[in-house]
Amino acid sequence: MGRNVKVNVEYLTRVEGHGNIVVDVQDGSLKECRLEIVEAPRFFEGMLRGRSIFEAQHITSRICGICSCGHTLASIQAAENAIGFTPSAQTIELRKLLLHFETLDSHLLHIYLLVAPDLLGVKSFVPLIKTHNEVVRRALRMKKICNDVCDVLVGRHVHPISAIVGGFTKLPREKDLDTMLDYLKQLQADMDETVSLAATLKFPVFERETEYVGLVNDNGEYPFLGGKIGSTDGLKVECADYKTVTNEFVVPHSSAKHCKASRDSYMVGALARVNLNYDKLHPKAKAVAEAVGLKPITINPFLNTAAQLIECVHCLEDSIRILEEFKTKGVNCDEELVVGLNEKGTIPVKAGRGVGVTEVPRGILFHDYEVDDDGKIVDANCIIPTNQNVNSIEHDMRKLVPEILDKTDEEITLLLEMLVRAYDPCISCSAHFLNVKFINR
Amino acid sequence: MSNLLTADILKVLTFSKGTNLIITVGNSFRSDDGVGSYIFSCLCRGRSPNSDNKEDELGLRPLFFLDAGYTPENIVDEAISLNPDTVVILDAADFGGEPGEVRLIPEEAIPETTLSTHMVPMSVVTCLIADATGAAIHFIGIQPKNVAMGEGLCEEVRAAADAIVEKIKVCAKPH
Repeated sequence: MGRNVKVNVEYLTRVEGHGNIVVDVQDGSLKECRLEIVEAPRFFEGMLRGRSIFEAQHITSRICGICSCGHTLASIQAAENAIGFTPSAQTIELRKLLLHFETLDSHLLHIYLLVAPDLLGVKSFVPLIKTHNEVVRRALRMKKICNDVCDVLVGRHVHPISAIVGGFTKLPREKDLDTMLDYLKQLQADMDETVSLAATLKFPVFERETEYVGLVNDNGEYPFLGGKIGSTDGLKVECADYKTVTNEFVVPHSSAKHCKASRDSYMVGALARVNLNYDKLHPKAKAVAEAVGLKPITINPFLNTAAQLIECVHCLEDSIRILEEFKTKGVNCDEELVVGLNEKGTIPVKAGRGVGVTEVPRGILFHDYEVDDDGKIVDANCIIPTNQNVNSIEHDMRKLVPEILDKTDEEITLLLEMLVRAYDPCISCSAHFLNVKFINR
Repeated sequence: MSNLLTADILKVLTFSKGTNLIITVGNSFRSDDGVGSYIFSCLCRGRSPNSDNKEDELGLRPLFFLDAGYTPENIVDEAISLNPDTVVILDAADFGGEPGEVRLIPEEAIPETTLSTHMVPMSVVTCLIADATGAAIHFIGIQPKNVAMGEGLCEEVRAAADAIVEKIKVCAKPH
């Protein structure tokens, strides 16, 4: 007779938001395996209706406190595409810089605060204060620098103020460039220590073939902004046609919709990006990939954390490159825009539909707006990365559980929690309102 | 003043010998949650907090102020660099009291909320500072009435904050 296992983790810890893990194995056979997303929907798309595209980014930024810059930029991009506005090359470079800062911040926190305790054998970040005090202080020091550079670039360390449709209301002066460069160079030493620490961590061994989805491009640049939607199964889709990739569907146990593309599920995030764009990584980041043994196509989801580390190095080095280029060529401050809702009509507005796509720390993010002649949003749709990953997590769990039935219940539970944490899910952001059609009303 | 502050609070706010540090915490865009920042701004009014933090202009009892806002984890290194003997943290705290009620929160009750990329618990901050400096840490909580989005404090919370400010200013004056 096979083994019976029941796992019921209510309120999974060290993830953002509330999710439950439910597993039922009877006589060695997996009967149930679910990641329940129990958060209430947040109605952000409803809030956008009737609002100006020039204020939308301040609303959607609040979807997530950690990906606020990513939501801001997806929102701005959707709005600009809807009205047919093309931002300047300088604006695009600064937006990429902003995404780098946010990715660094989020990944570092995930690696240090949420994943490291599992790999160092403690229950949370707090005991590490006694056993790994310098590591904890380094983590917070690095986080502070990420916050500080964001503050210099966009006026706040979360929920950026100066990034708006059309460009920026305040552009960095020479002293701001120097300040950011100084901060990032301080970060380099701590990053080397981070890489050394990460090289000592042992990740669980587990593999599942799946599809990895993210931005791809042909310009040689590791893409966080711009390009097409690509996948390791060969998809290459225009951003406007994102729904042919996401194919959202509803399951009864989750307030987050599930997604699938060419297979039963797909994964987005750092591992997907590294798998899709490995050759475009900064040489230092590629060296880290080699040091931790990660090369495309890696199919162990636990190694998403290693991919995040690789991206940290990439984002740090590429940020320094961008800033040094601005130091050389200067920032054209004539491009500064006036704060407001475009009252003076500086940006021409027309009706249309636009899709904004950015790579944020947890994966590819879509904002889709339909806009009227006055620049008011008529309809909106946002698909966030965790939305796309919950189905993949469940499929991983279904493959993993039968492979670890020789372990104790506690070990099985911990491995499942670690698996979910590896995806760095942002559960509150993923909770999505279900479309309800009222008939004869 | 004194009838708003109990004896244990008054004792903490009298401060000990050595270096004392006040850390204010809170989000001033969340109504009464901004009480920490309000206290900080009252204490620093007319003075540069940075220069105050570098000089012992307060005479007998060196008293430093740091406003941590809604990211207390970001001031850990700065707090440690001041090498305080005593740290007093002032923040809004929902302990089920009357709005404006002030209580000394025991260490074990300092929230060890779920850790996520969005939030570092206050206990991490207090542990790090205590571990590095050996400082005695006191957490003074002020019961908020309203922590919804918005600016400004309710009357009760403002009165409590003013009483705390007045007490600290009395202690900070050279005797």
